[in-house]
Amino acid sequence: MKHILWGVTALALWAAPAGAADDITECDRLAAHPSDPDKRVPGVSQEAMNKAAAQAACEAAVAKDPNNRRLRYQLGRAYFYDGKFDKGIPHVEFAANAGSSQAQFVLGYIIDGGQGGVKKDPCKVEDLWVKSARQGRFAAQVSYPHHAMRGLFKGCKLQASTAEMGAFLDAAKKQGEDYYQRLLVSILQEEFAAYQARK
Amino acid sequence: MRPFTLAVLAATLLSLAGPAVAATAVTECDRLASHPEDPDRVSPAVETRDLQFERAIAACEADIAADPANARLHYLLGRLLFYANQNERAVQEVRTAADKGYRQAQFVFGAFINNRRPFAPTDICLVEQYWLKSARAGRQAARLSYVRHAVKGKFAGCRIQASKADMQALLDAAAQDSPGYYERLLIEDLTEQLRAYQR
Repeated sequence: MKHILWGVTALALWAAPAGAADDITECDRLAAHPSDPDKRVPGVSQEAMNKAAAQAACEAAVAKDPNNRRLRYQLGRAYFYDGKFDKGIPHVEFAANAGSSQAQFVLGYIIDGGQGGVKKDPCKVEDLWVKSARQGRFAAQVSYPHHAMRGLFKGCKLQASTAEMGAFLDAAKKQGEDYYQRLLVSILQEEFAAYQARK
Repeated sequence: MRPFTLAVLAATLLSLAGPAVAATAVTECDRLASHPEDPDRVSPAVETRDLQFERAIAACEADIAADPANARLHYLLGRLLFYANQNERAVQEVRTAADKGYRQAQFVFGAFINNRRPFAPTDICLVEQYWLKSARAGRQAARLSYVRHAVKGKFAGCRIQASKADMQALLDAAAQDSPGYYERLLIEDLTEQLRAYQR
């Protein structure tokens, strides 16, 4: 029994989100996204970010803790807002692969829009957003059904069933923080009812 | 120029400048009750959870007594009364502000009616009127909500004052106001729905 308990504890420690136990850094204070579920501080908006200082702080923080998905995402964010897509992408990709729902959504958003010259790839977007939505990220929970209903993932294997898309919207409805978010969910739910009926 | 003419000119200029100056002067009511999304607020916003009702209501009542024509103050008092569950007075104050041309109050008064708040009128056609005024004055939420209600047929039976072209212009204006991600998705969806809309 003792062995089993040790095993469970070890597994839990190993599986804890990267960076859960680390300190709040200057990178957090200067570059955390207000909607990132991994954030350790309230976060700063794009307009409020001091990009040069954020890049410097996050480069230093990442140098000390290169496997920390939160810091890697924040460094990528600081680069993006400064138009440095080439420098930002590898960090956001790292964070997305490490399971950051925020990075998964953002990387999908960048690929979806072909921002910064990134090659558009709807199937990659589908994969990133379904992962993010399954982790509860509001933006992905609305964006995935939005795109799926419009056929924007055409040719891709849709990983979420119709029922799961409905569940994403139901979950999003509970999370809507402001008037626009709630209105968007309400419109998407109506569209979804029609989409379901056509299926 | 004769002294008399100068005096008349000065008095005219002062009388013209008077209300504008009064309306932009920051009062205690503004400091205690400004709404985060009010485009005409003159003081940093106070989130609903941070409102100190008793103190703020007293401040707004005193400020209104000193400047009864100030639409913004009537709206702020209405906001406080609504959250303090004093619905009858809340509706009256917000309507007063709306009728004085305050765009945030026009949107909120329409929302009171639409959401069937206690003591609000029940005529959906009033929503059409107030939201259109607010939308034409540039309130983002009213632009989107007006189009949404119109295309959904919620104003059926009312004289719909905005043409399809007017509604597209509202959405175009909304898109130009540098909205965030969710607003952009909303505008995209509403534009699609408006395309299919037949009056």
